[in-house]
Amino acid sequence: MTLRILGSLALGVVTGLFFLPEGIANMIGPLTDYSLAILLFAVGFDLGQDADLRQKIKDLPKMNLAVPFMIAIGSLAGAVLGGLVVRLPVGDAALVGAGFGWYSLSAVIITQTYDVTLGALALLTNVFREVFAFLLIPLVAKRVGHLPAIAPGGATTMDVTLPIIAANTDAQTTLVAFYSGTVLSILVPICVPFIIELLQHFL
Amino acid sequence: MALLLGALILGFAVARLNLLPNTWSKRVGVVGHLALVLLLFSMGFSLGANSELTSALPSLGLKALVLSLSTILGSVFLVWFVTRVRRPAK
Repeated sequence: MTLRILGSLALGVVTGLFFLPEGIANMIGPLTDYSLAILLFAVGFDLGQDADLRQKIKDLPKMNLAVPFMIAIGSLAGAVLGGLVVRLPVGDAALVGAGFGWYSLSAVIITQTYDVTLGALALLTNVFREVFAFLLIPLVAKRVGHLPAIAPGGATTMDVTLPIIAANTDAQTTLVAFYSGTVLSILVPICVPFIIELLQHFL
Repeated sequence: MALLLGALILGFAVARLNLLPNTWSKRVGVVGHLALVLLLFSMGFSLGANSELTSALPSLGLKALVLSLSTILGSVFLVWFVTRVRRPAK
């Protein structure tokens, strides 16, 4: 499955890079939306078929509610550490990490209100995060555990990467992933402007 | 956004209310898988056709690579570290 994912992603990138017939370019937006909708229908269908889902939700440890916050803090700390490697100031690195994989939103906010180059870096970093998530979720699910497998996707586990999590973990983890992605998606437009505000006041 | 949430809920409802014959449940999985391949293709296309992205790649690509991997590692590590303590012994 990973091979097929990588293959179709690569094929898409190459097509997008070298062939740009207007007709196709206009069809891509709806294609993304509808394929995503079909995917989420399938995920919902899978969850709905689970007869004792209610009990499974009841059995979920309360600590799972904290998963998105662990992912947020871990992402920021990881970004700061990575920033040390590539010589990026702590605040700037945290800002890039605060996109949590939602590249379009974080990059737009950073470009418009802080710095154009950093916005471009945030765009690339968070695009990479989403692409790597597709590849790493199956690996982390198998080698590390189901809950940690939610982490690579960040904010995207409420839609784009949810099917990968559903395919590689279980119904309970899928629910936690959807919840986590929702919380992180709400956190992005809060965290990014907040960090920019801090940077502008104290640095 | 509403489309996506609606699709998720609709899928759930269709399964709960048994609106599809039993033999269809496998087919939903196959269609979902096909949709995933299409999604990845269209995502790849949008990325490849995004000139803002491809022009930033040579100068910022390496930095972005390091930062994306470090954010992933940081978040995976923290979730693993915090949840490893309590493995429910059922």
